Amino acid sequence: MARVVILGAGIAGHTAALFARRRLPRSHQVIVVSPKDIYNWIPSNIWVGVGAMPYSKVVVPLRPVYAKMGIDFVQARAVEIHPEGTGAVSAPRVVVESTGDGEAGQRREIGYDYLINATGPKLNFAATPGLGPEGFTQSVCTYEHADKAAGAFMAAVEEMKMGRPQTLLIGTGHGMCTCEGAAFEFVLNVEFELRRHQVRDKARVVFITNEPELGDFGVGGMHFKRGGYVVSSKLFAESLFVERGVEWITGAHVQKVEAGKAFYETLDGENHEAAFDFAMLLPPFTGAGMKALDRAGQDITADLFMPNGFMKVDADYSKKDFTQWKASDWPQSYRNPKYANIYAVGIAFAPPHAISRPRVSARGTPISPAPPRTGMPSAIIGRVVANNIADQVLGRTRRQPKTASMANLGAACVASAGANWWSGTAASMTMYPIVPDFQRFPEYGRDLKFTFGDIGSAGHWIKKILHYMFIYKARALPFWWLIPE
Amino acid sequence: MSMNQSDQHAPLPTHTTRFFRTFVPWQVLKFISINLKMIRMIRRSH
Repeated sequence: MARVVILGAGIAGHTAALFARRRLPRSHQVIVVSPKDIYNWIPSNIWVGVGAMPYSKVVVPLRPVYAKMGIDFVQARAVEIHPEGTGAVSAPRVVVESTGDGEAGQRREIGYDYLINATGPKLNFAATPGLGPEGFTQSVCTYEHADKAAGAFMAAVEEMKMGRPQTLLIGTGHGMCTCEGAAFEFVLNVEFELRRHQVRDKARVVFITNEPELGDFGVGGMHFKRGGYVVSSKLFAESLFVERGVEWITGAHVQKVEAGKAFYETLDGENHEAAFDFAMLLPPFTGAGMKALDRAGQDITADLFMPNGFMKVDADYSKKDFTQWKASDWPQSYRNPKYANIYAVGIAFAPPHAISRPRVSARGTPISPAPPRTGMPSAIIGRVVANNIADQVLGRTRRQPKTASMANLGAACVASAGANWWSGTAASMTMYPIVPDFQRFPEYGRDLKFTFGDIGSAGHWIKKILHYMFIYKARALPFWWLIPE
Repeated sequence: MSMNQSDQHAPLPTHTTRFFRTFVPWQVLKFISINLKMIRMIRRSH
């Protein structure tokens, strides 16, 4: 009997758990360890954050799904990995700390044959003083945050209905944030809802981002063929913002936030302030912060994790100049180079470097987007790793392991710009590959046959249908595996 | 770096373009076309 332990039940971890269980006979054990017993379809949190969807529609209780599938569930957070075992016991294990009712804080050990680290990000609000729901800004990173943001947004709408103008500041709360696409979607949904509530004339909407220009999205921007021209995503995003009357600040590192005021530095090294009545600023991410210990109890965290807490996998982590970056730097199998039975998927794996060109301000402050690895690529990586582990467990070693390099994966991104079946729109974008490969596609780094962008109601319909499809898949309802990631 | 640094250069959609963005018959066709493009890209990624 083999035991596969999956740390985390987000998009990557939950997908990996479902596929591992589907492939492995019940004689093998699949265990999911997650601090929450609820799955959150995070891409729809932007609708929760503007009050267009109740949070109950973006969550799935995990216990009934796992009970039905035959997956063991442990409500806990992983705190230590012992890849060589401990003392006299050579079997690898993880130490977890319970977060369940009545036993919070209790520690236990769980042995594993294969470990998938899918712990996702730690939301590092502490990197910017005053940032986050405990400070002076809102977030949509979790369904609880999004629900709270909706309350604050509606309070601002009520102020405007009483004739009091409001400034809404939306974007990234640190120079090294990722997920700029989520902030982009949120600001357009806020603007749409302001019009729906008939208070648009009372609102000043400002987008603040660490991207060097709009439309970078942490992937160095994209190029599309439109109207006989090859146009950049910068033009596409700027056009949308000008049309909607959204102001923008690019290349910004938010240094601190106080009540109603954000302080930020821009790439030219200048300091600025932005006043706000409502702010939703995303935090930067770090890894979950697990420790690793060898059999003698010595700290070997640096063997498994990068200093930012993300797990080392089969990527090329050597320090290189931007001009030397290659598609082959990116991981293929997501296996730790030292411990072959440990994998990291989704946000938990350490990328070899950024995708956008790194930039520092005139004063030396790094201000550039971290590489996104959420949503579609995250789920594909989870599935590929689970299937490769199943092949090993079942002895199908003659089959070549599947790979899932982000330099070979494409991504579809449907960025909502207003949640209404008839008047709502969304920007539908695809790119292939996610990581530009200038050796294969010398001109733009991507294949323009598979990279496009369009805006309209059709995009919103797709986004809404995808929402229901992925919730269906998360519930592991009949034929769930036919739904692609 | 500064606010609205490029708004004077951003192309604005015409009234017709904006109309077609929410014109249902046209968007039904777009829906089919975008789905086909996405399926093509997904098949290449899986």
